[in-house]
Amino acid sequence: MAPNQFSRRRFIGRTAAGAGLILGGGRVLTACGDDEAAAPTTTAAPATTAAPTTTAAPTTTAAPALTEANFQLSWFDSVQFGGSYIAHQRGYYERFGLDVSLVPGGPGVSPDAAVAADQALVGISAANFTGQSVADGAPFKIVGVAMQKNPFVIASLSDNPINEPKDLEGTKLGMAFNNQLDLELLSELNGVDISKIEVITSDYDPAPLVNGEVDSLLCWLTDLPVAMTVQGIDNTTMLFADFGYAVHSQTLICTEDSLANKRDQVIGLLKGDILGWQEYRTDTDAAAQLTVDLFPDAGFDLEAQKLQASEQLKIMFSADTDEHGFLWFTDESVQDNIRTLAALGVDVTADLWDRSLLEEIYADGPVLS
Amino acid sequence: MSDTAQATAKAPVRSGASGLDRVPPRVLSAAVGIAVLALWELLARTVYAGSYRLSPPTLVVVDFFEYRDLYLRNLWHSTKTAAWGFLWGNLAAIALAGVASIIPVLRRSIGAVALTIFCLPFIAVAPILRLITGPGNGTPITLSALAVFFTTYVAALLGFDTAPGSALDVVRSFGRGRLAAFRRVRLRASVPAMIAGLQIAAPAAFLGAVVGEFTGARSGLGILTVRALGALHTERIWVIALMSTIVATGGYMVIGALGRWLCPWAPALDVGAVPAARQEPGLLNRLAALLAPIIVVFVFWYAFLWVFQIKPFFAKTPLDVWAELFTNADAAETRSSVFGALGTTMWTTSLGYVAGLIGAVVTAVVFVLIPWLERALMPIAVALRSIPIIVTTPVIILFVGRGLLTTTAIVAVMSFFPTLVNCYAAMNRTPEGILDVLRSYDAGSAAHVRNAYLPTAVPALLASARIAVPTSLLGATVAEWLATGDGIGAVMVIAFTRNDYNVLWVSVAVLTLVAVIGYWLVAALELRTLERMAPGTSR
Repeated sequence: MAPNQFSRRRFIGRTAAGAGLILGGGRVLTACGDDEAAAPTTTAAPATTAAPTTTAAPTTTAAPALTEANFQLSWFDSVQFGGSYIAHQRGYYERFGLDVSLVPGGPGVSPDAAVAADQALVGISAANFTGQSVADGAPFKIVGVAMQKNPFVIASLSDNPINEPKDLEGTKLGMAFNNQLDLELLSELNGVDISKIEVITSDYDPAPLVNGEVDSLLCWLTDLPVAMTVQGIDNTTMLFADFGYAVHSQTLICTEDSLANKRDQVIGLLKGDILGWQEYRTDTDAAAQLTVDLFPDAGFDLEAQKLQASEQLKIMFSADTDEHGFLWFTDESVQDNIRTLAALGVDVTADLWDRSLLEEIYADGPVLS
Repeated sequence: MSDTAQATAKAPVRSGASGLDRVPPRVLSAAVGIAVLALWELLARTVYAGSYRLSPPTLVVVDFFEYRDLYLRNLWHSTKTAAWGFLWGNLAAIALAGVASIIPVLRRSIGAVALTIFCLPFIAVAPILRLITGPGNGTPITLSALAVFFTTYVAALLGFDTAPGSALDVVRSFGRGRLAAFRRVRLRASVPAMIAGLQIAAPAAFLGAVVGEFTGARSGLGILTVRALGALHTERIWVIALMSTIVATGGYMVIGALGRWLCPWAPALDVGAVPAARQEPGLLNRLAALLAPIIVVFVFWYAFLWVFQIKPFFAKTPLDVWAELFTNADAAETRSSVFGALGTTMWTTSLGYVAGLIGAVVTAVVFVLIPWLERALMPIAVALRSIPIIVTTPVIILFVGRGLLTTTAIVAVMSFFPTLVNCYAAMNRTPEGILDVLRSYDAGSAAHVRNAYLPTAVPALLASARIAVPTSLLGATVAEWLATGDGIGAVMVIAFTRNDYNVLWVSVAVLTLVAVIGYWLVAALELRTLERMAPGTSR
């Protein structure tokens, strides 16, 4: 059935009795149920036996009514959103009065559009997309930054490595066609003559690099390099972020209207998410396992999910987040982003970012409990 | 000659039944199939070993069984989505064809909307639909329904039109009206044509469902393909391509068998070979014929935006599109990017389109001349024409790489198979009289081809060429999106990822217009040719 319903099928009245309540049916549900039984915090053994509504009645009456909210992810399901799956699984969103549906994205989904069309309370986007939308008149704010460092890398084979941008000259690079501006900017920032790079269109696919059709690929730190490593192919990655390319990624966005009128809900969603990601950080393998269990139809490779989960830590957590809390962004990084975006042809001001929610959330320190 | 042109309206797809029947066609097909598999295995184990491109068939089979549950679950998901789209799309098409049949005045307008829907570029329509239907299965089902709409509409209308005149006369002589005629005669008479339409709708529905999955789904073969590409799971790509072929072809064959069971008296029929509708004579009629559909399409456009109450940020009216193209500050920039890309697309598409058509005619001639080859290969061709483009694209990329050639190759493949099947069927029905004359002159193969087979195939070729215009552009934009990053397909994807809805709508409008005009041009050529070759046979 409709994938977005999977969260509504079950919610855990953790604040009340710690008993699980499961509605509906289906494979995802079974996976949730199994995992949940294994979760230490719940006494939810009976929940796996399809939770008769009668036993759940006291739970629902005791807990305040949950508000439904969609959280639009930026891509297909994977451990990329592992912290959010944990939050969902453990009932962290429910703690703050929300019944959150995690809605998968894909090549045909614009999270910005989903948020603007009120199909999602919060969406996961990136500063360049959101900046463009805002320049075109969409009323967005960035309220949190999950990837402190941009995940773009140049990936190459280790016996023919690209270690710095200058190495790209005289080589063939495979990349998705809509990354042209990003490559131009990286070149400009590092004095690379872009005319000396031969660009070949390639997307979602490490095979051109492995087969020697290109010398490197522009991709994410956490996708194609991970796939190659798992297949036993030694590879080298060079993060754009280490060479002056400052674009916040996996940014959480919402509309100005939601900020004004549904502020509590947005805060609740952020808080639940933060709890999930704090837990993710302590055990990325568990997050990978959860992802594999939740989405049996994806055919995930557990090793690949584990590696992706741990690689991701490098760009999601930093000294800044340790000091201020997960999702935080500093004024300095905002200024860096404004400069980078301007070079990409997207003119934004610091108004694009709104840190007031995080300031409220982390009033008592950088760890939420 | 009029015999042949008439016959194209009911082109039987005869998969391998010619004179020489020593070796049963199945045996020949099987032999060829085994040879292909052996060659494939050999190549995969030698030239392509370790290349993450070509998997040996044995490993593909092993992989299927190892992950059988995974594959079957995803296949089931995509098939279910396609089935719902198939149901709704066909119901709508048949209902509207019924309206067009009962109220002829509406025919042209309904036809124009149907054709426009057929010409819409899926990859740009999907994200817009997503904004209306929201997350879930709504977008895939809708896309799937849109994908089957036009061909079923044409088929159903053809069926209603070809009701026997004597039966209609009987209804009329009882003083009953059009409605009774429709109910008692036309509806029943339309079954064979309708079945033929549903046959080609089956693979189309599957394609729509798979493209729809890209708007955010948790299961399905489209997503599994993208994941497999990224994870270097080469076997998985091949398993998915093979499964999709089997399901799409299976749908095609099951519906065909259903048709033969329901109405065994009726000849098999191919909707791809239905002649274009005739135009009424007279300047005023022609003007009306031109303007009415355009007005209806614009009304439909506004109605669509109004009914679904899409926010202005996403929803662009014809006036917005006009402004973005001609009066906005960045109009010149939009024009150069959209039309520049359109040029690239049209160039690569035309190359593939022409190559596919020529290749199809040549192959059909070879098949007519060497019957055993036809018997061996035609069943494979019939199967291949129903493979969904989206799962074949990765396979084609594996072979020809990623460049302009990829688009051309995909377009060629898309136009080749349907044209081959239609042209061969037409050639195979060359009237015996003509062949007798040639034989009596002791004419050689070349003379047969020149004087009998080619002329006989012209109507079928033109009908196929007309239908192939929108499908070629669809294939091209999918290829540009998934493989090459060139052309209008790339412009649409960039516009979409940057939330530039002005450029997105401009691209959709321009590309749809190009497809409609291309369709009209081929239709005009077709009418002219039919009038000359076989006056009075065009509808």
